[in-house]
Amino acid sequence: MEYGRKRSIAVGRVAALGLVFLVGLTAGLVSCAPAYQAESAKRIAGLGVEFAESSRCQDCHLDRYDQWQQSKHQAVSCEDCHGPAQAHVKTRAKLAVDTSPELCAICHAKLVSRPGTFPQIDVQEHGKGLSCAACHDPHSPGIAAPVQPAPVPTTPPPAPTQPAPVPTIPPPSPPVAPAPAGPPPVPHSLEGRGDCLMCHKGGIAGASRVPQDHAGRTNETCAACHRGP
Amino acid sequence: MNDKKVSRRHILKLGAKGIIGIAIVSSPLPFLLRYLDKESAKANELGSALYDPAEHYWGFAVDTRKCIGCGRCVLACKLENHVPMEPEYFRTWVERYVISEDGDVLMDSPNAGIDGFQPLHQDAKYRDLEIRNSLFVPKLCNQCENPPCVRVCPVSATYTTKDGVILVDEERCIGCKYCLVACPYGARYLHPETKVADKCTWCYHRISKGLQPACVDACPVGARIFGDLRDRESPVRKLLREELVQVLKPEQGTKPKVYYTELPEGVK
Repeated sequence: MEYGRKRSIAVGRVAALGLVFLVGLTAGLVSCAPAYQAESAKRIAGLGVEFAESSRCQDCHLDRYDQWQQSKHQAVSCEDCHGPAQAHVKTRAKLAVDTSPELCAICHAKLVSRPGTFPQIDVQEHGKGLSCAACHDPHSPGIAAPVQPAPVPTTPPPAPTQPAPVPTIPPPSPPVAPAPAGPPPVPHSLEGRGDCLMCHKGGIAGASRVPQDHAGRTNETCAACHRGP
Repeated sequence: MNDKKVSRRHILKLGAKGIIGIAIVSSPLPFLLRYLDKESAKANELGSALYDPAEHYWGFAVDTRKCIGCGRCVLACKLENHVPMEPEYFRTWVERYVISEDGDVLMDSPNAGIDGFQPLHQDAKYRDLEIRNSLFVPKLCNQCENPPCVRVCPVSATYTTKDGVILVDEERCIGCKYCLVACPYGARYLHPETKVADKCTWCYHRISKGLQPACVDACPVGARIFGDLRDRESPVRKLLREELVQVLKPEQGTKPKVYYTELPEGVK
């Protein structure tokens, strides 16, 4: 039996050494794996970008950027509407300006699945097929409180005096440049003032004159854009 | 030829000792090679941005309460990552879930949601339905911590980076599509031109430059949130702290890293 015992010892030694070999080989191979992965990750990380992010637009379009940042659209990135702009940063090629109601409707059309607090409208009824930008500046879309970009300060004109039974009309707001975003709300009560054009057509009694591009519009349409007090 | 007889046993013993000896001697070799690789990789990194993957561990959150299903994320992703515009290829997508009064759960995702969604009454499927609830669920690669896709790859072409993102080495991938099948979320597709597996990378080429993934930047309502899980003040950590979150298909054991504020009961 001496031979058998020697044999067992020999087998045991071979097995132990074989185990050492396997452990060493496995550890080596496993740790070897990331070598090509690091190369691959570096290659992928080095790919170019298409979207520049809105903060990049601030570098050149500061006034627009400030106006937009204070508006209700501040979470809508510039490139959501203007498209990927990384190339534009280099080439300065003009970016798309889409003022179609279809673009606005992508977010603002009424859908039952949308959260109730999100502003949604029936596109046909509300806009009547017109470009939303006619009343809502996309960089400051709120009509009630439009954000003015860099207003030019001027001294306001004195308040006009009125006969006793008629309540005082507040003075017109100082002119701001560039054009205000959205039609200005009506600053006075509409009591007894159903005929807008009576005062505003000729600009009498201190009322602001109806602008040229409103030609052909009647009293009924004024209230559609110029919200009441 | 000498007289001494060499037995078979002797040869075998010699052979075995030789093999084991060589194995023991050569086992440090892979470690040596790896060390040399690292050194050369460091030298190559002089040109690329000083981004150290080991310093970050990225995470993603989706606030389904905010999603309006506009699909700007899907479009931005396709433009950013040059994903083919055909409907069957997408790295991220938006699903609409409708729960009827009877408790039925219906889902649609027209063209991955890239053009938004039409009103429910325009789809015959929903026309006569009494709707209890309806919401949008944006989806993307979950960059799982226990990824089935990495496990099944026969050539180890797909792997997890140190910062927790799963990438595909397009030079190693053989296009067998095993990972497409293995992913329980349907996040992968075979690219029609390169014929290799492709998927959302959380815009690895952007996040390694300090930018946000394109879909996160595009979302107009802040439904997609991205950040470093290691940074306690990152937007993702903040949301995880302030809200109760859940993941898709937790029973699969994949340990996803995209956290949802709310998921409808029958979400797929």
